[in-house]
Amino acid sequence: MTQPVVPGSGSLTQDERVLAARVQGLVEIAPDTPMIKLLAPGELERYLRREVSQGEWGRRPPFDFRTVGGIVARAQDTTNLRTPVEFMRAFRVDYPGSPFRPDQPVVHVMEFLAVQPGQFVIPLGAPASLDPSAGLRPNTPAVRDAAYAMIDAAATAGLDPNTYRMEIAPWPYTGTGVTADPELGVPERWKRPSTVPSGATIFQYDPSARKLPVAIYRGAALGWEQLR
Amino acid sequence: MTYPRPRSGIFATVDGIEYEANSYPQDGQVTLFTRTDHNPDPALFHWSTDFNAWLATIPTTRCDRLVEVTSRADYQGLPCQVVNIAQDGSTGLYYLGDEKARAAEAGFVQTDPGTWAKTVDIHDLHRYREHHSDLLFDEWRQNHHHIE
Repeated sequence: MTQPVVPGSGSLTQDERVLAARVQGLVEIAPDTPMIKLLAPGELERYLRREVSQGEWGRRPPFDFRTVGGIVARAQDTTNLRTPVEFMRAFRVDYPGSPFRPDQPVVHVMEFLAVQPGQFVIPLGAPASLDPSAGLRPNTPAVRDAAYAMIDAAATAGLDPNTYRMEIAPWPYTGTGVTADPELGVPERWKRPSTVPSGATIFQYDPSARKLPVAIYRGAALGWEQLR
Repeated sequence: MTYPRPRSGIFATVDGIEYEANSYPQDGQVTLFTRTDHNPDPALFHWSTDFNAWLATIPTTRCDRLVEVTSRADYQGLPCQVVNIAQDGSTGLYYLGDEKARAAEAGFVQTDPGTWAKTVDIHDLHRYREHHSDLLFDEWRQNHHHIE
């Protein structure tokens, strides 16, 4: 029986995995490194109304206006992204159940300083599929082998073990530390949900590549201030 | 029992009393705020009409402790951050672990890139705890365990 092919890190040779891991070692994050987070539709409004919510299963996710987390990137690695389509491609938001729409007129992006570099880890591992027909469920040997091979590559490349962790997540996660778009892919980091640093700013990007500041965070006492 | 759950944010202990901080410390200073009826410590705090709160900006060396607090619990064996707990017991969770595909199988949904969330019943939480990240550790280490 033919083994299913694991995409992302699973499609690389071990030498290519080591090279990919070595590149990740060059993506340094210091306390004053500007980072960005692509916000889902509707999150700007939830930040502005200081929402702290448990959410409602299947309808509205939990939310805390004092928190930012998930997949982020260094601002310096995203300077070529200027339109909603480019941001959505770079961060591969075409995952199952995504709230993003290819035709949405604007996207909102939070820019903030890293402050605590230890909160960011490189997600290395392999992609899985929740579709049984794909034969790539999280526990299949092919997926596990690819994930461990990527972690071995990180060790071979001499990456600081404190800076990465093994993750198995559904495609379009790649497991290589870079998002899946072949042209606009960016080095990604997973940030544990934690405090938004004061001074964080949310920008709006439209199809004509205009970047407008729309909100700034004044800290836990004041929350978000709308700028326009 | 009046202790709020879940807690999230940055908290400083000064002279044995805990106050919430407005944000992370910057340049060795941290700003604390409180909205009590009376000034909790006139030597430290002043009233700010902009903040509608008592404010104190102090050196971090003045803090006994400065921590970033998040609340965590396990749900079906999965490590999670507790976002909010409603009166009716419905509880918002973010998945913190590294097996996101497994979280998806447990009903977590990716709400934005890399954020997996689910609203569950409070009775399904196990090992509820607060996680305190010591924001003064590096400074303390530098002062007490300096590498020659």
